[in-house]
Amino acid sequence: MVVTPEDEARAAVREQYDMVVAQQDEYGWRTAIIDTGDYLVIFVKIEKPHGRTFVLSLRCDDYPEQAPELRFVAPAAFDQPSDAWAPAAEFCPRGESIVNEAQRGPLPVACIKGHRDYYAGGWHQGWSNPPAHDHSLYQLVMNVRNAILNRWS
Amino acid sequence: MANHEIRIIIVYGTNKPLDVKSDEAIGTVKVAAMGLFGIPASEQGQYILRAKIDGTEEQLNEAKTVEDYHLHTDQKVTLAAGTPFGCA
Repeated sequence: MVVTPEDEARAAVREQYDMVVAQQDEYGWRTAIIDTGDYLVIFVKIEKPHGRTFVLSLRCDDYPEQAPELRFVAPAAFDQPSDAWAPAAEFCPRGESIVNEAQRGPLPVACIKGHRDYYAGGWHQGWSNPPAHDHSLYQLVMNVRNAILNRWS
Repeated sequence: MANHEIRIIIVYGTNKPLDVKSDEAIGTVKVAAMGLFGIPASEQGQYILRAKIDGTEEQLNEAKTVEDYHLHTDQKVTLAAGTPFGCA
């Protein structure tokens, strides 16, 4: 049996996804995963108490060679997850460490380690294959969750 | 109060038990928790411990002790990145 780079990427993503799933009751997030045929996409729903509901889309193409692409999509996307959901600024959190749209692209960018835009264009260093513990996909979800609860709105 | 040992649960993707003493500093507990997951002590500045204290999740002060927070057996303590942000 031939193991392709795509198979290796799927296995690496699944390992991290299983860790996220294992803690969903503890941290109150909800998870889903889809296979587009070329790569996996993880969806994580995080509800801020007395606040908004956020849905993260993590496109894991060529993981861990490159970091997952983090986007915020409509909350409805969680119930019908697909890669057809378009991200939009209105679905993004706001607050400290969020770079507003038009500064680095058409969407706001979370300045938080572990996702592709954070490292793009040499903005920050630190991505490696395999990723360091504090840059891992699981830790990204945890960091975003903590930021939503404590820093973002 | 007499020094005694309890077993807390460190959460970092998977859950792992850690035996700690009541007079142990949170900073020491953190390094031990990192060791459970193969994270070298040299990276301790990049991590924090969080736990629910009186129903509210908060970052634990590393200068305080296990007893100061009344951590108890089977209490879940989260190991998390302390400075995940790249800019203000």
